[in-house]
Amino acid sequence: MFWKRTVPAIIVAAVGVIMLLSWFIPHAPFGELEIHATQWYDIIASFAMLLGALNLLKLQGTKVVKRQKGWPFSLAAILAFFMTLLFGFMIKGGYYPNLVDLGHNEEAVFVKIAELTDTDGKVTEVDIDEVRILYTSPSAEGEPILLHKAVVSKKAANKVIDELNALGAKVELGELKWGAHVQGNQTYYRWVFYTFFTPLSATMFALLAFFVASASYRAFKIRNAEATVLLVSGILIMLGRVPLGAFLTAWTQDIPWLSWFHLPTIQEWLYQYPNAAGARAIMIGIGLGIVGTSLRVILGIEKSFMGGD
Amino acid sequence: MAKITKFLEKLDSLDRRIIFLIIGLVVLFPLLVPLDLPIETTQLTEDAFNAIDQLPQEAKVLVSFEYGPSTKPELHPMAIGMLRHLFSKGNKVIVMCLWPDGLFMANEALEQVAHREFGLQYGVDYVNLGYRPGNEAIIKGITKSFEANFSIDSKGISITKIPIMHDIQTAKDVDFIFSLSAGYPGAIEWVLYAGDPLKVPVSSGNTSIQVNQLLPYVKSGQMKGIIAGMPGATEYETMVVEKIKNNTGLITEHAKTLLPVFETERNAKKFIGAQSIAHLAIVIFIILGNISFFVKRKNQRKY
Repeated sequence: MFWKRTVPAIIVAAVGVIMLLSWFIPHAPFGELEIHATQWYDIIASFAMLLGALNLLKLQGTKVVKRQKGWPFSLAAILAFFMTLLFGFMIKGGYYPNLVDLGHNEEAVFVKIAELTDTDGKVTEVDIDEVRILYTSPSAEGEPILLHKAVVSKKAANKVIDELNALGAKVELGELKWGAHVQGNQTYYRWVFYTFFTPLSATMFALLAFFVASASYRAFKIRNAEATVLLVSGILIMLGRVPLGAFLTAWTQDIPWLSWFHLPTIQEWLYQYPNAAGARAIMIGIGLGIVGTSLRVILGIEKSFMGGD
Repeated sequence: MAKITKFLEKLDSLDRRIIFLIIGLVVLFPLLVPLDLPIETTQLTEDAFNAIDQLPQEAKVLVSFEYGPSTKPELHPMAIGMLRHLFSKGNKVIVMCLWPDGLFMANEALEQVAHREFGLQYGVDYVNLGYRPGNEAIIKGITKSFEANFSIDSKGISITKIPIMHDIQTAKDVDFIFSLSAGYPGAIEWVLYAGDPLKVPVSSGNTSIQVNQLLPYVKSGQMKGIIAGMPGATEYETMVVEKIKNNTGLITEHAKTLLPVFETERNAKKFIGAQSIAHLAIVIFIILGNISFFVKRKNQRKY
């Protein structure tokens, strides 16, 4: 009991008091302690990611093993997890041909580079001109040639290097470092992000528009006075926020006594006054709640975060 | 009359697939045939624009990317507009990310604006410090030391070797903080842990749904305006174009040559037509739903 409840409570109380003091006393030693504490937090947050990954595997793995409802989705989640892990830590791609010197046959090299870098499959004079401008004076370290491929393996990069070297240019193999590959071009990690994560994530969010429309149709009904206020202000905000609202009520701007009925004006007023007042009240409530809960944790009254009863 | 009443009653149990189809069509139509709707600027966007516009040329601005692909249509156009505004004034930009996918968004925006449009030099005119886990602890951390939290940038270069970072030790050394945020951690955390304690002005670009939470900070002066959702992004794009067109305030010569690009490549203006029509469609659905509701209730009372 002592090690499970009392010691953690003492640690939490001590850290809580130190962090509180560091906020009001930014000088040594409290100011420095705060720097260390935030770095500890970063390290713990990184471990939390590992814990999260293990938890995902445990939960989804159990579903697959026990063939629970929706297990194929869990299997997809596990496979996606390992695929991303593989491309993050083991296979990176990100090789590139590094142009050191154009050689004597410059025009043929430009045409070849235009073919290799063009994305639409049609190499025009304009494309070749662009390449000519980009690669006329490669820097001493060499100019990376960004190929049109999503991922460049060592083999693919070497093939391009051989083709360009055959034309008289001097091209060497370049490689993105481990770590830098997660944000570099033509790597597997980037390919996973743009090929899978981006469309899936965008699709999920885009579906909201359909469900909002359907839910508004069914549930947004004038049943009482409060619902009426909500509905009217909702409609005014929805129309007033977009240019269409301004367009539909533009005529009110020409008549002084009607100018207040300009939808963007009404929407702005609703945002700035009733809405800001309500939001502020909620925030003050939340703030007081946080202070109360924090004090309870620091003083050892609140122990539910340690688990158990 | 009886037929109309029956039709209105039936509307209440309209198949939701029909609603989905109509919404799909009304969103698709303005994307295929762009609507040229007039853009009126609002106070919130004007405040954010003016706060950035008043920064001197040598100002260094910290831009934090806290959004991913799901909110990209709303936030990315404002990221592009805001970066165009900053670089057109010759400001230096330090980018960091509190969301892992923010790194990709930041790279995309910098590649387009800093590299392709302005042809700026990495490390001298701008830098991308990348992503660090830790949420608000990172914000709190950089108020004491950048190097302790970002020893290397996103390319793996030590920040001691990056010229732009030489005179930036903490967040206090930047002149302005701009958070492009779609949730937590985001704009509120920047105000609480960096803007207020260090007295560095903060502004933000957010999804429309976040504006409610952020307005109290704007009203109290803790935030210098907000770019709110796609309408805000459209307004900001317009203000940047108008500024260069009218040649007002600080504008570099190179930025003036980019005006045709800024006028034509405006994603927010392209998408706002679809959002306008979708809003109108939802309002019509709500009105129809209520008419149907009342007709049905009236008929039920008869019996």
